[in-house]
Amino acid sequence: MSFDFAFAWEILPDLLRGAAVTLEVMAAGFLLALAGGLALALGRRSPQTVTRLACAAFIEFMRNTPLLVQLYFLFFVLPLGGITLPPITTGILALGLNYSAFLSEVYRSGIESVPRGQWEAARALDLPARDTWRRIVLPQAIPPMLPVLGNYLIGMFKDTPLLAVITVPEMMQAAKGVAGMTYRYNEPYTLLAALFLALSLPASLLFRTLETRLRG
Amino acid sequence: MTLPALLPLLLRGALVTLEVTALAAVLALGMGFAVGLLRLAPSRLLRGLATAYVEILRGTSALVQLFYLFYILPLFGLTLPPLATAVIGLGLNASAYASEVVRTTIGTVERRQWEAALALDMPPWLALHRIVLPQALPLMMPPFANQLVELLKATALVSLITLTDLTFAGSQLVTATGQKGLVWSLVLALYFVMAFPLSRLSRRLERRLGGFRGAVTQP
Amino acid sequence: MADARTPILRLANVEKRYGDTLILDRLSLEVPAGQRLAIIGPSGSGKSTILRLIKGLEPFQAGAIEVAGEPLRPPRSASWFARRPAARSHMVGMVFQHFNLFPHMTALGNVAEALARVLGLTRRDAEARARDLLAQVGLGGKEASYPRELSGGQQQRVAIARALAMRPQVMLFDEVTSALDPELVGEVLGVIRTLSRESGMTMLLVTHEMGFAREIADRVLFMEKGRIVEDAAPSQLFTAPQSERTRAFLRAVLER
Repeated sequence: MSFDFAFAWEILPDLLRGAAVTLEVMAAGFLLALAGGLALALGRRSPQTVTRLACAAFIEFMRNTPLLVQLYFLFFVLPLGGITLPPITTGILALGLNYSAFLSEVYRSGIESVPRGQWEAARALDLPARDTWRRIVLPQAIPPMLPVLGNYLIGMFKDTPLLAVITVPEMMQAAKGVAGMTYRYNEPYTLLAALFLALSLPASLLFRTLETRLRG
Repeated sequence: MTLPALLPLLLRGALVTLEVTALAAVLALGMGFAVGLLRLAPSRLLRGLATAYVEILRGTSALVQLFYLFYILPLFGLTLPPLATAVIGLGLNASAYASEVVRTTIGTVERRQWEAALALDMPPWLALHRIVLPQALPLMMPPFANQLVELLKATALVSLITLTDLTFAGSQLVTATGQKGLVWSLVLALYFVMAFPLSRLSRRLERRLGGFRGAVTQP
Repeated sequence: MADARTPILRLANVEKRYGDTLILDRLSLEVPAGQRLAIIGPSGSGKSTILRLIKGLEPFQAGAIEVAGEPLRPPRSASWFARRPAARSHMVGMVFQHFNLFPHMTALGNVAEALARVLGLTRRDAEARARDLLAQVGLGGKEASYPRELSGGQQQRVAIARALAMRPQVMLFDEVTSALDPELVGEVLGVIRTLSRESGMTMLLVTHEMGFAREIADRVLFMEKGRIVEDAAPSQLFTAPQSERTRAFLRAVLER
């Protein structure tokens, strides 16, 4: 089985174009997840039982069902309800919603790691709730969360190939396209794997050093 | 097609899902222990190989690995049936995460236990299996339970390499009946029913066995 | 080869660093067989390190260590899997400050484990011997107790029994009472006292218990910053220390 380097070089631009879409989708999806996760985490602490239960149920549901099936659901069922979104948007929505459930856990443990005394001090100074969150709690909760968030970002990156099934032109789709057209499988898939590693390994290393730095 | 008619077909797919999960889990545990212990070996070469194994499997996504096994392996003359491909692909992928659990929980057993064992002239292998591992094993349970849930969810990917699991059954039924909403809702519900008890178990284990939380998450 | 005149322990110009910090500074020491040696000094002076090096728990960068005439090769790598018990290691027993009992085994199990697995006794013989040893340290009825069910003093006595089970010729006691509540210290010292009276073992004790050191030691070392500052009989060192630093240390300790 040979590996045609010249061919690999030729198809690299196609894969890189796919990679650009991958990164786009990942960035948008992660931002959505960050916002959604925070909302869910706050919702879990809401004084209203309905909100608390609804958030808890959503989180449990998203965490206990596969992303792929959630993706199919959004892609095929939303149009039935009158909402027709382009595949990329659906993909971003699926990733964002799924990961928001996981990120809400990260927020939760970050918030809970802030010592009780901080809350009490804020109360003693009559700080209003919003300021307590914005100025006291979140600034202390967020730094230890960063490495874990980083890991989830890398995870989302690795989940983007799923979007190929709803025809989003990301990296995996590009590789499949090349393979389908030229009937050569080795080069595109190996390049795909290599690109994956090239992007995810440095990122993991970065987050791991961040973690040791924060801990030590 | 109504609900009662759809269910048996989906359940058959669910059975395949459970089968793949179980087989892959066994592979993942076996390889996970082997590689996790190798990461602690005195030989730098062995450590390096084990680390490369973990980094490569963790650094690429499970889907890419499955596709690699499914499309590329035949080009080297080795064609495996979809079930074997699925079990090996998912099992090896999960083993990378499992090995991290093994490695790090062994690391949390206090150094002092090693010293005490060494002070009694126990050779390292004996110290590991009589003193350290028995203390590390309970700590491994909660993350292992978590990994199992992740594995169960990951099996949905095998539908893309033509294995007739729950997701595959779902897409077939959608094509056959056009009832997208009902079918996909049922599929989601079935996955939930399978995964939720495992999640609950994992949380209970974590509470009882003094949860271990590390940067080992497998998103 | 060891004979009556070879010191049972010998350190020659041993140097140990941890990162950039110098822990032992060209330390030389000879201990004849049967001697009871107490080592005192402020924390960070390197006292415990000497014991740990003799037992082969840590590497050292320069110098030589001999146990009964046999040189010790420092462990080569940090990985625990690379550590093989050092030469003559079976001649040396060690008791730690934090007991380090195996939490998943009973007291009997703790003492019997190495007997069965390392010395190769049958399970039955190992347990019989373990029972004897536990009785010797005053824990007759406690064989089936787990460490978490025992007091600190009891745990430490199990640890002593565990080390004695291997029939060592040298016993190393590394601050064995420092982690105990004051009222439990006596029972552990009692065991050590009995041991010193009834056996001919060489004993090295790193301790803060000055009174005890004075009572059972034949020789006392005062260490500071990785060096031996003073080396004398207890009757001399405690009453008329030669070095000003020894005097300062003793003053500070007795003032508490």
